[in-house]
Amino acid sequence: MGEAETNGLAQLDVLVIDDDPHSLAIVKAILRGLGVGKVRPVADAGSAFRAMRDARPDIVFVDWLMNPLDGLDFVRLLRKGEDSPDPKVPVVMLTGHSQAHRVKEARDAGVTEFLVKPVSVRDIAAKLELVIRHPRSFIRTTKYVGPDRRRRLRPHDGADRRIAGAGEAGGDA
Amino acid sequence: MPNADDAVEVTPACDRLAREAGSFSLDPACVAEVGRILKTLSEKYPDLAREQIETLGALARRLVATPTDAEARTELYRIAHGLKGNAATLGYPLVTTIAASLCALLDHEPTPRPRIQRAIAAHADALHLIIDQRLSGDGGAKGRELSRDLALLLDKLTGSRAA
Repeated sequence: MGEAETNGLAQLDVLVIDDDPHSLAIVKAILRGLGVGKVRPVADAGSAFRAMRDARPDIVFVDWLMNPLDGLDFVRLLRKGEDSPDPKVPVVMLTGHSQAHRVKEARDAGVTEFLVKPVSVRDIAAKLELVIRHPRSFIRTTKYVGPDRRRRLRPHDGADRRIAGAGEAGGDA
Repeated sequence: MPNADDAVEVTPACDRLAREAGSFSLDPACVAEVGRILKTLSEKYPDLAREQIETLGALARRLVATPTDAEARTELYRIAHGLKGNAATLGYPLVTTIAASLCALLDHEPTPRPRIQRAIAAHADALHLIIDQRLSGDGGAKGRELSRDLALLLDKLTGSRAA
């Protein structure tokens, strides 16, 4: 497809982790169709860590419900693990779970974006655009490691807690 | 007073991907290309999903026979959840609807009582029928009827529609 050379996504290396072969095929097809240059599908978290050590991906798409390690535990290990291959890589969580508490749980684990299945090409393109165009600061505290959970900049008159070094960051997305 | 345990380390956002991706935009030609790829996958879907549907049916029978079988329940939920997530993208929204309904039943009663057991078996049979008869889209009159009956059953048993 010619667009791959012109839309810029040809430079991207995206790792997709899903133990469901149909979901893996769908996401791979959509990313390739959008012109992503390198799409690496793997079926489990262990293979994902190995793939990330071989070459660091630019973005990771991971399914929530997987065996033996689920997507949420994968993200926690990726963000906080001592031997994590890349704690700061943007992660898009794919899931059939759409309940608010699930979204919060994923966000608190360090997920960058959340995408509810069934997915469409426009859904995936929109998440890619968010990750690429609106990168977020990376926060590390004793309680949380991951992208800044605040999306909007809200001016306030008080001291900047991050500079002051107090409290949990990014809690009011 | 802040202490060391409260320390916050902030790494500013990096715009490397934006610089490298340059003029990224959703090209209609890309959307069309993805549509073509998904259509090819969709044509193969009933054959590819058959094994999963048969495994799901066997697990449903296992759970009905032994409602405390947590392993069967977990695996049944995992397969149903997977079907719910991908079937609609591949042209089988009815599979997504019924798989979602099955997940809702399993969420409602992790150790299903007899009437939920019967509903689980009915869902497994419905999924088998859809794949067997390749009922893509809304499944026509037969699919709509099946979907309506199972939604009513779910409503009656759990008081809620599938998410």
